[in-house]
Amino acid sequence: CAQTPLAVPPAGFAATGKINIRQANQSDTAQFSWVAAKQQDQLILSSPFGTTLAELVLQYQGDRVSSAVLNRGEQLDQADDPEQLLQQLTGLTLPVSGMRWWLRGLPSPNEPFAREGEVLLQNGWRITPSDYRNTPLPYRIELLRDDLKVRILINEWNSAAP
Amino acid sequence: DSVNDLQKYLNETKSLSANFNQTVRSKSGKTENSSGQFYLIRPGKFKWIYKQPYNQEITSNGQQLWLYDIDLAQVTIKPINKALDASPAAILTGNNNLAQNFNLQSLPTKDGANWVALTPKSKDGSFAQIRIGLVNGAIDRMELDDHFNQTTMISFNKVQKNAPISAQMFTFTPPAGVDVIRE
Repeated sequence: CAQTPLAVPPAGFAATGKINIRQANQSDTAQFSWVAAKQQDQLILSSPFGTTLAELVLQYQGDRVSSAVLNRGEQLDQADDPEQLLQQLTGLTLPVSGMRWWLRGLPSPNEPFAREGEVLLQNGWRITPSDYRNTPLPYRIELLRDDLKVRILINEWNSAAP
Repeated sequence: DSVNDLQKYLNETKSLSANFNQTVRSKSGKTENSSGQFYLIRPGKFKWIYKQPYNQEITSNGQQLWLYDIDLAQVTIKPINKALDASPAAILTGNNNLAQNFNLQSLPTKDGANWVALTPKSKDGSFAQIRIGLVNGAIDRMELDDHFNQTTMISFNKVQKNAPISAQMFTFTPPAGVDVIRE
């Protein structure tokens, strides 16, 4: 069933929670906040002590990321490929380009996708949203690709983001 | 002055335990609250427990660190040096020579506390500056500024100094069914 992917609600949305990225015996956990506005997303990664580790801003043209800026405190770095930027400068592998849809359990409109029951297959990732708690949005999203496992636990959804 | 008071307090503190409340205020003004408790034996041994929303238990025996994430049902074991640069736990349990890693400066009294500013000598830590507030010569609160002008404020209560704490507290046994990752 090819549902039409839900565009970002006009008012945007925001989610906060915890993200864990695991590859072989490397495991990184951070608190995150994702704020999606019409043509821009802002991802903030921070530690439990409250320190901000990095701030990634994605600009969109239509549904594609046109540019990404990573702020790590004193340094601003820009690139077209946000995954590469994040990976090179923080060591974290995270499929951020599809995140504004995958976080909501939806396929990104840019690439073909397939479904296996609850599981969404896109861009080489297996995306499993779950724990909907009788709401339209998942509170748990797991992303798998090769030996990489990303687990996202949502604390709070907020749809009236700026 | 406050720097000497802080040094004296740390020198005479063998063990410490307290409850804490933490507030993180981001530059957008949004705040996130958490609370928990900690236990420590100087130098190096601590257990730092965060309740909501972080739900983590961080234990160190001085050699290695167990990071137990309750939501993820996962324990990550890391060597101690790689893990915590200037976190609150590292400062309170660190060796007594703060002057080695920080420039120390007494600040004027404010909000009923005498403050000490600790500015890390190494640039690549996660904090731009840390401030410790002393009341009657005892550590009462901490403020940590990161590089994004965001401030973490921690206030301590029910503080117990030099009360006996069993060393068992500082080795962590992962509960059954929990993923254990050794880095």
